[in-house]
Amino acid sequence: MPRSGFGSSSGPQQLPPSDPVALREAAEWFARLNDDQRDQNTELSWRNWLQAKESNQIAWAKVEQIDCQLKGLDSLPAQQALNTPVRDRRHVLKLLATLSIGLPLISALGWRASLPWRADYATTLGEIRNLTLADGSQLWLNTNSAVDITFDAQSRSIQLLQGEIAIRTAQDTRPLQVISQAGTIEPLGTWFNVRQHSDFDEVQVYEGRVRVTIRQSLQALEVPASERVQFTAQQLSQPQPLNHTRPNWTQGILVTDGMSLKDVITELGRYRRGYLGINDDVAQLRLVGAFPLQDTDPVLDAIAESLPVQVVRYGPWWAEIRKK
Amino acid sequence: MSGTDVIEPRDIAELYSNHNGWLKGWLRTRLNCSETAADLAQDTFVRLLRKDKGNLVIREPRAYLTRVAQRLVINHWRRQDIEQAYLEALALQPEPLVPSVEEQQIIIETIMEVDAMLRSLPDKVHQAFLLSRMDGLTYSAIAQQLGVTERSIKNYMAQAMLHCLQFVEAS
Repeated sequence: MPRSGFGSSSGPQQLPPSDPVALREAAEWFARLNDDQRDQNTELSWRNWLQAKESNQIAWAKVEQIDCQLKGLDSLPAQQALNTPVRDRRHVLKLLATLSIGLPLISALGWRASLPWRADYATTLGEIRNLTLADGSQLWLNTNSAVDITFDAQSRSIQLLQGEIAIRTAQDTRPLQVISQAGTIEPLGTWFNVRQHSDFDEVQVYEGRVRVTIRQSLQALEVPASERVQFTAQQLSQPQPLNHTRPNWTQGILVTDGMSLKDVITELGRYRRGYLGINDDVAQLRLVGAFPLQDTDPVLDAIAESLPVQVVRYGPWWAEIRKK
Repeated sequence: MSGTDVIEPRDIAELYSNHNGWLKGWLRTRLNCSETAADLAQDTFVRLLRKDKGNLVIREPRAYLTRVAQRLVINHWRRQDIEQAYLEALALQPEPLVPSVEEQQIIIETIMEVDAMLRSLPDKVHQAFLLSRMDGLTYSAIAQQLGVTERSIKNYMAQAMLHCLQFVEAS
């Protein structure tokens, strides 16, 4: 595009307001000059137009500013970002209307790098969050978890994208379903917990019953209160009794009644950054107690005081439990 | 901002002291981040200060504040989406092509401005404009891609530029 040489060094906001006619004409000249089929006369007539009035020069300077701004985005990543689809407006407004109560029980660590930004709701590492959904159901998100929520006139659907959630359902005529990696969980008026482990999913039922249907074989099972099942997309375990009556993590607490130290350390590792390991020779020690999940470092120190172990640390992101 | 088109600072002060805490709470439950909530609450009141005095008869202050704040939240989410898309695309670039963090911020800012400018354009006009300005396609190539005549493309280009000019003029 030919350059006018007028006023193109200052931003459009510094130029005086334009006459609407000049703006319209400038936009038309822009379209004509950009056409690679244009003839020489086009450029000549454009110069005449430009020189005819100061208002034309000002309007054209604005065209050049805008074009320059666009040219600043000529890299591939910038173009891809500019093509980011706009979120569905109705969906966004519904989200805004969803009442979410309670502050995070545990404040975020200010580290959001691994967070799935596109999820409707997500928690950062170490964060536990409680929401009241539009139907009145209570939803808790454990550390580093994400869900998408779709409620419409016929159904209520919660997709667990990662991590762990607990739900206490409210009375509603629409069926509710939770979709996890390996299957679909349909509660029948209930309180339950869904967790995605790395290679299987687990459902724990505290009240009522839930139906679990696994993705590939479509095998289904009704799980009663106080039981849990583990499943993959192909296989469903027999229900096992639960040894606790509520998901304690929703209160920000880890209850370790007789868990192996290895399992305790794996649990604590979900709430902190970096590496947290344990040596095999102390892995099978048993631990009884309740520990706050808010800050895991003091918990490690408390463990070292009650068991014959020590915490070896190198910097804030590396810790290992070893024999004392 | 001239003295004549602002509402009385006293009114704003009253509005602020009566509703700022509530607005921050409203935003916090939606954004789950007190810092962003505080920023957007601040922006909401700044918008009010810039409003035309004649238009600003606030009968239901909280409903009004909610409306302004909703727009800001939508904008905030848009920025997150764009920022994320940009950084993801950038991560796939060979290292020498990656701009400095400072340059990245400027680019994201520019993307936001251009995005706001082009957002309300009809889809084909939007596409034609980007294909011409970003990809450097000729009008005939764009016409072929979008299945319309070259003449339409020329009209689209004028329409898009006029829209941008009016957008800049209005802001």
